[in-house]
Amino acid sequence: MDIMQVDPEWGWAPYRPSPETPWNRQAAAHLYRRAGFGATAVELDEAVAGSPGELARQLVFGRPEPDTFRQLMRGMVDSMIATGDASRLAAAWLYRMLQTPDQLQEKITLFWHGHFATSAEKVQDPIMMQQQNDLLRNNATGSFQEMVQSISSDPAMLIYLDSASNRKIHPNENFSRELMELFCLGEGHYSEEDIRELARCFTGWEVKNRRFRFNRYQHDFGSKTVLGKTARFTGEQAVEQVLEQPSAARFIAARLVNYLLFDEPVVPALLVEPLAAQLRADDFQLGPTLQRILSSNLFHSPFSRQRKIRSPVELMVGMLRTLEMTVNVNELATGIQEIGQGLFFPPNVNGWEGGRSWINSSTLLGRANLVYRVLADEKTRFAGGSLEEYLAGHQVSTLAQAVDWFVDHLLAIDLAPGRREEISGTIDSSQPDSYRQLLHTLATLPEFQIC
Amino acid sequence: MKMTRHCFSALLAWILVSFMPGILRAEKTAAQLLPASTIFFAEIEDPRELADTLVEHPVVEKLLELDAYQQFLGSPEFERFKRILGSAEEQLDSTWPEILTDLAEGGISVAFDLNTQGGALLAEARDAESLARLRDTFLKLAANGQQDGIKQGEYRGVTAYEFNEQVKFVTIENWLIVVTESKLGAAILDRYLDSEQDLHETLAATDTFQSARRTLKGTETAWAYLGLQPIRLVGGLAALSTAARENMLVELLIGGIVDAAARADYVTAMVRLDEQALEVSMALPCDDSSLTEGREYFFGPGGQGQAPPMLKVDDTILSLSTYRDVAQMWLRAPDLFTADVNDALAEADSNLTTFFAGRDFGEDILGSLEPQLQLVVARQRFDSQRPIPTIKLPSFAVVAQMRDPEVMTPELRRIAISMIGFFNVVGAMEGQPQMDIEMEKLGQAQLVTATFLPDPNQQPSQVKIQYNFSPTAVFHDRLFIISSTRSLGEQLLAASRKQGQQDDANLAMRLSFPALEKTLADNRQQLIVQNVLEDGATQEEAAQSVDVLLSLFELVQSLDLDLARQDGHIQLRAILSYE
Repeated sequence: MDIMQVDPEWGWAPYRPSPETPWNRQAAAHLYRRAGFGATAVELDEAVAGSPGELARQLVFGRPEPDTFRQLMRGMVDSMIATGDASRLAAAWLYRMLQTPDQLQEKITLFWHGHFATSAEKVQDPIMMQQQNDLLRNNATGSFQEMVQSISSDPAMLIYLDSASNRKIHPNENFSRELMELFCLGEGHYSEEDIRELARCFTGWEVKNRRFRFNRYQHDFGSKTVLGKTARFTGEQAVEQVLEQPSAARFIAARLVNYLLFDEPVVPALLVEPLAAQLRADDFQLGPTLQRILSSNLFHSPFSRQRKIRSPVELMVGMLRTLEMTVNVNELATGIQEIGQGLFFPPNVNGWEGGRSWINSSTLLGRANLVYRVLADEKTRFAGGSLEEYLAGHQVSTLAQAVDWFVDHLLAIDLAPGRREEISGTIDSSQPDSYRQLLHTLATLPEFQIC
Repeated sequence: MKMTRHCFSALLAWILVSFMPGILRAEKTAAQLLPASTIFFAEIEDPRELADTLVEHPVVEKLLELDAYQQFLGSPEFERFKRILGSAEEQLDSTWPEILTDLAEGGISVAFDLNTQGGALLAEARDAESLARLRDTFLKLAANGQQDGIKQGEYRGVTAYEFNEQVKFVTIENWLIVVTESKLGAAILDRYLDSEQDLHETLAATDTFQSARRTLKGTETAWAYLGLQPIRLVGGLAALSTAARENMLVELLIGGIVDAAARADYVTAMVRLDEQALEVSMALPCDDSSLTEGREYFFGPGGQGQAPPMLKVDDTILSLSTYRDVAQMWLRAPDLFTADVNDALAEADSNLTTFFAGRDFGEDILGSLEPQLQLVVARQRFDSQRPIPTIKLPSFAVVAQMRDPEVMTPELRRIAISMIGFFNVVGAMEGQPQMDIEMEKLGQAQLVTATFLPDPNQQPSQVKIQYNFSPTAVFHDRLFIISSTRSLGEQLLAASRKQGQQDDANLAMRLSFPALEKTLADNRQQLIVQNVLEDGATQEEAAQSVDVLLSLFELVQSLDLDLARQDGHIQLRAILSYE
């Protein structure tokens, strides 16, 4: 399939299973991997018994976290915050990714964390970092407009982009530049003059005691011309003016498609347009567009399969969720940071580059080592028991069966003919940890890195 | 009549000559059977009494009542263990307690011999018949399980058995002798079979062992001896010495013991177990002539340094009271520590001298304090009117006496204020809460207190760890207290007015488990969270684990540790009390 030639109408139309693209465990696993992190064998069985459209709807709207889980998370986050160390927050977030029933919410929150990249390296304060994380979560599938308005006055963001003391005599252009370039419009849809004028709109926006404060004495109340319109814009009005640009909806739609469907190429304009139109029609409510993407022909087409490289978080959380594993989450957070995705510590304002940049000789080895460390840790359990017991519960009792089971549940792409036998042949089945060795061997394969 | 007396004497002599070897053999102890080159010896004189104490012990009874233990009883692992145990009992036609009693009613000893590099276990059974029956059953079981596992040999008419080519054993009369080296087995049998002890030097006859034996009080459940001279010759104590030279804290805690061990001939250890306490103590010979000048800071002039009486406050978790002339140690550092440690100390000395306005830290600041020091750690009770931190730490304080209060009180007060100011500046740069300084009088005492200002924007569930602290310096006459909280400083001031009991200890420590349990219980939610994150447990599992931990602390009351010089020995004693 040539993505440039895909008919947008067909592409975003609801997927109907057919003999060529059947609704089966592979298709359901694909949906779970992209909309969340991964599915257990039981979840896949339930998924194929239902319809793909219903599953996509459920993933977007139908799996809210119970109050008890929210309370547990609140207590956990408070404990991390009380240490005063922002790096501790990563473990609590990973725990949420592993245990939440609302996988999509966390997957999309992770997307916005990279999109509105803010690093605790500079912000330091765990309370502000968590406030931003909550903001992204609360708006993850809600209104993009509200999210941008909120992020514009988010204390962590203002500190990160040096806007915490934005004065009218010296407007800081960092935030206004990133608001247009990275957050809402993309390059080429604004001028340097727009940046300067937009910066004036945010003067007087300050952070005091971890809260946003509008200092009217530092705000420039004068007339500004932003993106072709002249008015006495406030900061909020300026955000509205940015989002009214036709390129805003296109930019967000394209980012979501790249995040959920394929790393490369850049989404063709024709394909973006229907989604952008829907976003505008929905007042930038993200949920319906996400549901449309995840239940579309294009999403379920062969083109969108095996088109993404797993980020470190997707790699580990995906494996852990699929195999119902419980692990030392503090060490997991450290391990994931070591292989390039420190939660709450994105590398720069562009966030993580993603795609092929996740993989190089160093990170590939690091990924395999992290999987090994997790598997070798005596605290690691599989649905509360050993890997052997877990596999036995799925009627797996030989290495050959185990290879089949792991490939079917963990890999997005099948192995070349003969490879399954070749891999199981390298493991000594008499060794007590042969299944772990097998799983580790699979984790070192290039196929394991694809999602 | 005379003839009759002669006849009786001859008869007696004949009886003695004929039967004396047997009588002598029967009276020999394990130490008399072991060669003089034995460097380690440990014995339990009455294993049966120990077993009875353990079975009926209140702590064991409480442990058995724990939910976690009850769950373990129903686990497949325990079922498997029970099956193996039952099968063995069936084969031996006896129960395990009876088997143990049969095997070692007269005592059990273990030893290590330097010359043969062999280990030995000597058990004195109830009687020769019981032992023979156990031996035969064991041989039968072993033969069933492993046809070639047991080899037989003979030494001086005694059948010896070799198991797995590593363990050799014999039974002779009511003795079971197990060794790892044949030569050691032969040496033990020689001493058993030969009536004249002069033929063979024994452990029991060595001067060192006899000196060590004099430390016995007769109440020991178990006793152990380690000859230090041979160990020293092969550099076996070097690690201990290196640890003290490389780590200041290790030197402060055990530097004097390490120094004494460098000259001592032996060390003994004793365990005493009863229903109230478990006592473990170690003794090293150390008379006045053994004390070196370099460790005067540790033992005091003439070895007379005494720890101050312990101050008692509510919910004390840990109290450590000691004699340590830290200023002298600081100045003797080049002799005591490695070059790396001395470099670090020189750097610290330079920084601290700057911080203390040019006064030499070692001589002027540490030297201004008497060598009697005390560390107190106590559970904190939080004022409901102030922010209550999410993670609740215990408060802690150091208590000392100033040599010259008139000079040092204003000096230390000024330093305390400077330090608070310094921390405020550093904290402000990192966005941390700020401290307010307060100076007040409490009777004749002066207090300098710093309190973290409440953060109006802080959520009650996210109060930072800093709110555990309200650093306080207390000055009263010669008394100087530096405390992490005002409350503990005040409590210690009040406690210092009550005359505590002075004992002879160089160091005394008490760890209170109820207070520790309360402190952990204060942080139950945080412990659960950590358990969830680190063990991957569910919230329910984590809560259960934490509650088991807390219930374990309920089983014991306190751990007391003291270091003292008594009867020509340095004695380190630890007592774990249950009630």
